[in-house]
Amino acid sequence: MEYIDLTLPLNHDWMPDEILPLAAHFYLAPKYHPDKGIILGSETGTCLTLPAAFAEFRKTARLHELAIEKLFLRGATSLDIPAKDRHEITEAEMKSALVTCKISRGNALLLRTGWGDGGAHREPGSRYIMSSPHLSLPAAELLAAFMSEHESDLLLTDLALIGWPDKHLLREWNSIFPRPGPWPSIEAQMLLHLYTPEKVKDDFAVELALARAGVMTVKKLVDCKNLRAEHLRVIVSPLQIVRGVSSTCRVIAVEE
Amino acid sequence: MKLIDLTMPVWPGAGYGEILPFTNTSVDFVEYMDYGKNGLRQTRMKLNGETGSPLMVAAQHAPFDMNPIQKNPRFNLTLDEIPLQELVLHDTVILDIAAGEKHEITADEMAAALKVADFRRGDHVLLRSGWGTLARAYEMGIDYLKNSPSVHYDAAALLAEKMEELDSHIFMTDCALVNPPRVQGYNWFLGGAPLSPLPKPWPSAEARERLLDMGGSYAYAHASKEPSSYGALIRKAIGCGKCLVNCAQITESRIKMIILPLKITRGGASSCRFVAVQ
Repeated sequence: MEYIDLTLPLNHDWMPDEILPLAAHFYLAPKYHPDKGIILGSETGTCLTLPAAFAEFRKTARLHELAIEKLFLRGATSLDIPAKDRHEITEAEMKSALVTCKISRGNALLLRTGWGDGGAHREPGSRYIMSSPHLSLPAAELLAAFMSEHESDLLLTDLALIGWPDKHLLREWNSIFPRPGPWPSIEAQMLLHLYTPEKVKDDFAVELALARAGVMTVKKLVDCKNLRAEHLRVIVSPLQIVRGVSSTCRVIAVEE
Repeated sequence: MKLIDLTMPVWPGAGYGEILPFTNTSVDFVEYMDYGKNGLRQTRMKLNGETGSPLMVAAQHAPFDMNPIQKNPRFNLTLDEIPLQELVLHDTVILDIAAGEKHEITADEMAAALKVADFRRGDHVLLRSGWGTLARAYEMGIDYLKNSPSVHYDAAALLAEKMEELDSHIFMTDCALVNPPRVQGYNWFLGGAPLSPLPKPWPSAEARERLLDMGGSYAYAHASKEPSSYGALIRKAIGCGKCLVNCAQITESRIKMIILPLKITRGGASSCRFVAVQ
């Protein structure tokens, strides 16, 4: 068996995903510093997000309640839709990819675009997040319906952003120049203070479409190009947070 | 194939984050986006290298201090350097030594357990005392650690020698502490002059004062003059894991383990998932 690590490393020097105000700064404080330890956001690096992250689905399963078989050694099928900088995956592209996708009932789906292979996550600057390909809402709705039909509730992807939050978040955040740091910068706190549930619904329509279908998502995978098999097993290993709704995680592919 | 989750969960205020002055600090969460205000939850988490069920390597304080906590360790890999073959579906032997509250596993008990265990070359070791259960951890608070069984130095030295002989690389246990609490918590929560009420961990004033009392360094983490059981084991291992739970659900004497710490670049310790496959 071959094991392939698909995890974005947690680097205390610099993380490529600390661009938006929703991100929390990751750092390791030295041992004699008052903050000694590991400080991170629930979506730092490669991360698992449950439908319960959204208020609408808060009565659904939390991290500590998930059956271990949902995440460890789960059968998975890859779905390839190559996409470059800022490309919005359309309904037609999704339809064409799904037509040839031979997913087994209950398998996870691993959507590979190539975004985690090109090295954007190793470059300085904001490109990894701000130029991420992403799903259009019709493509996400089609994907959610396909996954429901095949009783699949786990989507893994190398996209840095699954949807494109440009109704409010990107417009408001990008209007501040130079771009401030992520939470807890003063600017991020201010923006989130005014970031209402209505704005979240608009910006996260893609993620909500998947959550509505009961789909858990794992994003910011890297090195998916190293996968050879269309059918494989995946290990998704989040922190075992009591009543948690999202967590940074380690993702390993197992190929036979 | 049966999967058994052996991971101690993470929650704010967990006992393991409240009991020691330095090595395992408080778990603290800040919900900076919440359902009511934003319709979405995002959490900033303050953890520690020993939060939950941790995996720790020889240079535990890496990346800031790359010195191993024991001199001349057999291995000196950081978390991100551990080969996946060591972490995914690795053969593991169960070493059964039933131990109740406050019991220190002796060298004789260790020798007897090693004699009957089906310990093969290259196996990881899971020392099962029977202590680690979720019910205990949730209900006992810091007493879960104060009263935990542990490994006496002589027993740890014996096991470390056997691990080297059989080229074994990772040690795990469901004891909440590897060092006896009287050693680990010497003059903090036990010993001749324990502090009462028990102070908060680092960066409390009391923890800072203890650092002064220790000469400005907690490289050896406890003030006791007794040798470190944990030190004996980590000196011979790629990594050590502790505070596992649910090990009673394992019904076989040999299993495969999935051991996945966070992928921290040049990291020395991290909360980890431990899953048995049988």
